[in-house]
Amino acid sequence: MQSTYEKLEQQKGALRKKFPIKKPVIYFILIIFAIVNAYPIIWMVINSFKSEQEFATNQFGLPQELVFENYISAWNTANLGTLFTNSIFICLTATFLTVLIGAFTSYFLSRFTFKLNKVVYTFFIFGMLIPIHATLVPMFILMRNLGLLNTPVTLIFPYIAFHLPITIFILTSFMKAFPKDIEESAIMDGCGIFRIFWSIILPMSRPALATVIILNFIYNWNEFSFALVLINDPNLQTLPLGLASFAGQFTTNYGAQMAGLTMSLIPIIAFYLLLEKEIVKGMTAGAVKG
Amino acid sequence: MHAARNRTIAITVGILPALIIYLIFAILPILQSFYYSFMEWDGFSDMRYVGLANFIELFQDPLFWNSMKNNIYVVLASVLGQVPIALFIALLLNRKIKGLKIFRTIGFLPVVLSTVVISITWSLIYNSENGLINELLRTAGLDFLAQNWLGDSNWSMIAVLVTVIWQFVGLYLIIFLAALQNVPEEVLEAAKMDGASEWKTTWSITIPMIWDTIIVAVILCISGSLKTFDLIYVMTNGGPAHSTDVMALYMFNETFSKLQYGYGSAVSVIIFFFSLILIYTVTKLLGRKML
Amino acid sequence: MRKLSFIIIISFGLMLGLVACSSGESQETSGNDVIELTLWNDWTEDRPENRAYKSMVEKFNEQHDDIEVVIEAIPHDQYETKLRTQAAGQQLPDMFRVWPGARIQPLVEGDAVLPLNDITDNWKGYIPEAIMEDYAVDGNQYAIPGNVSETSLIFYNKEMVAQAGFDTFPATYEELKTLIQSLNDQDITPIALGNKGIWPLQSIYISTIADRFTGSDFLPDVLNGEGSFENEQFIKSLAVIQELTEMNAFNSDMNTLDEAQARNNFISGNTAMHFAGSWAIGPILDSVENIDNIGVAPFPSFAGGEGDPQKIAGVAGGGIALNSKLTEEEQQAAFEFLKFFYSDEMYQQLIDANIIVPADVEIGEDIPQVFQEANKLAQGGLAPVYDATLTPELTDVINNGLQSITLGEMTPEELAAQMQQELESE
Repeated sequence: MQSTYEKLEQQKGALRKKFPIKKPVIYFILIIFAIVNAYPIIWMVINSFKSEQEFATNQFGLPQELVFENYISAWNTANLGTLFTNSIFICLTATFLTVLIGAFTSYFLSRFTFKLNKVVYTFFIFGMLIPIHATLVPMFILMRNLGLLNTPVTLIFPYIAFHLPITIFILTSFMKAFPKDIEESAIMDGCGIFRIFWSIILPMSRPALATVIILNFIYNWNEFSFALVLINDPNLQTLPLGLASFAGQFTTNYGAQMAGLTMSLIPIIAFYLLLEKEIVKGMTAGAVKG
Repeated sequence: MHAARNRTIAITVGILPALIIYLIFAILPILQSFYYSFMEWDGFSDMRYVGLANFIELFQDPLFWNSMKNNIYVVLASVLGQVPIALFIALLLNRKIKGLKIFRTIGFLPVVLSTVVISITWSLIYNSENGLINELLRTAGLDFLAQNWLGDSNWSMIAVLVTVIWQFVGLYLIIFLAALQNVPEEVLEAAKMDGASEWKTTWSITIPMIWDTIIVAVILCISGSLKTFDLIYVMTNGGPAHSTDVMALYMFNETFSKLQYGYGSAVSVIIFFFSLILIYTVTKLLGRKML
Repeated sequence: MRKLSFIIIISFGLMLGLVACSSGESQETSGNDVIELTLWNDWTEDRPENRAYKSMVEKFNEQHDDIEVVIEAIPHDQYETKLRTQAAGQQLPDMFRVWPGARIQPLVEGDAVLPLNDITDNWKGYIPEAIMEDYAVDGNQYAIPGNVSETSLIFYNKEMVAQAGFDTFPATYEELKTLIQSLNDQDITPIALGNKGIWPLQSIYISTIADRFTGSDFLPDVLNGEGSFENEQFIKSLAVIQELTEMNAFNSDMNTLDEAQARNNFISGNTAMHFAGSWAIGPILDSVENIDNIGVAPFPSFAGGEGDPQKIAGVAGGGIALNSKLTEEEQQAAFEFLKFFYSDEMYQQLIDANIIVPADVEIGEDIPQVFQEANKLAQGGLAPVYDATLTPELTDVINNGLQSITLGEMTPEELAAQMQQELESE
């Protein structure tokens, strides 16, 4: 009896040795994956240094000489300085508010049972199904009636409203997974509802929070349609609009466009790197322990 | 009694801010759009009530059905492409090997990248005359496999789908990575001690533990795919000959190029309810009541 | 718990405060005596013609203390989306760039634009009637043409064409086909075409080719119900596209390149010809290595065609329309601006930027040969451009149909029938 068990174990061990996902294989897959993902960015950066003439004749190779002018002309023609400031302000504010009230709402929707719980949740999820271009005209008329066209905070409202659904969706599903007894013991200790949220639920939701913060920031950073329609004043516009301005009816200044796009990518990558740590914190913590 | 009332107040206060903003700035406009769907309106002159005429016209337009068919391909490609690939990569990355951090970051890059850059670079890759794919095929002596990937209406949708899958793998990657943090290390260690293979622990422990997140990802995939617009708009604008047209694109062109606001709104109503039905069905199938 | 609700309340308060402040600011500006006029345009790109337009506005503002024209530039591809959204919300700007013909029609029908009949005398004898009419609907003038787009020019690489045995560019379609054949034999792509945007085959090719076959009265007649797209001559013109595709006159990736990419292929010497409008003159001259090697020619004549082979399709552009809701005072200010803007000075600057203008302006010696020749071609008379004349729905049908023809998914007869069907359903 025992010997069969041992044999079985040996077989298992052999099997494990035969088919482990070996490190080289993992690296190989990941390197392929990385090349496929990095190529467009590398192409963008390389072409941001090409003159218009060179872009016309040579789209693949390295630039013959580095044309830094693209960056200067991109910065100046598209008024990027102002647009950067506006974009950063709007993205940070909208993201902060969305995640704050979204987390709050998710907490109640996931940790409490009350009469309208399901209804409210479902109602929020509907928001994920709204095709944004269908709302451009109504949104414009709504903002006009509210006197909210063309102000520094105009874009914040639709950005919050349109990204609350996905925020709530992700956070709720994450918070639902926490075991029930967390709160029970906290309530025993005399903690209030908001206290539990603030010092137990929020810290536990770190990876999910980081995820939705990144998502919101990216969406807001790249959002084009509302920014196009709701803002007229060149001093209140956001980055995507400026980046579209290098394309004319019959011509496009690709060099400057790529330079502009490269610059606009820097803050968002920095932001991502900052938060990525939060997403995988458990992982690194484990690594230290291990 | 007192406590219960406090609780109700807390819940109301907690949910109200989100609900109000959402109602005013998302629900109100879309309801307005639904209302337009019963109107004939070019955006300049006065509206005219036409009942269900827009919907009747819509259902008779083969181009609408074509865009819906293509859109279903996008949904399938996203759900069956993005989710498994992202999950696979996430599992590879969720381990303690040196240098993984850089892959994690690179994996996410396409999500933040401008659709303009994605469109140009992928079009260069797909180009029929000197694109990377055809060059590789020719070098390998497989000339007969070289295609006019984006320019041939038999291949264009497939080419676009590959790019769509590629673009959003990173998004689900981080969602899965976040979820994997909730799988306790100890459970996996214990399973390993018992001699379970990595394949087996993944299959019978890790996946079930993040099953809810996988459903979340599938739902995000479906809702996102049915609204898909940006990349296809820049990359092919639905062409050639409508072969890559999707519903949101069809709606946009009807509304803003042909100035049929009412008709365009009718399309948006269909998109909305179609997504609703699809998501409801899928969640039922995957064994979780989401809605 | 209090802390959190406090934070939320504060952030809401802040937001509302900001709103109040900012909306207060924007209302103040109209308080003083200066008449402010916003002008929407698509001059976002840093190009010579856009610099010319902008400098004219600047100059106007300098010379007028009581009027201030404020430029708001919107990227071209998104211009119409924004304009149409604002129009639907009754918030059109004071002045805005408009395109002629079918594209200004809905604005006129919706009473959104102001007739300029009172001031058109200013350009009488200076801008030809025929070109002015592009911006007129039912006898009312709605904008002044700033430029002329000839949509059908053939740019060619002199050296390559000569090597293929043609010292002068072919004047007939039969000869052109021989040229294409002989280029193909030498493994040179004959024509660079970028039809991803689906308008080039219609706007550049069909506008002129169909005119050669049917004559210039055909299109207006059909639209008035006095004819049909299922006309033998019109179908013949569509068949030219089919024939050119079948004989490999175009690059194989024509449906995945945009117009500018195709032009770049021509500029870098990869193809012998490029068919494009006068808008391509500037970009080609800017980037091509040897200007003298570039020739420009009119479309060839077609045997059996009923049209005038001297004509070339073209349409006015660069017009600015005025909002119909301007006050009397603002109208006067806007009129003054238009008179200042559409003047000798601007047209002169545009010519320097290689833009063909509607006015009879002196052309200096140093203007490139290509431009001078293209400019001369406009004198044979202009044929209607299809997408400036057809409704958006019909344009969509012909654009997509021509692409389907190149893909072998549709025949010229089918497209003509489909167009007629669309026309009758309108």
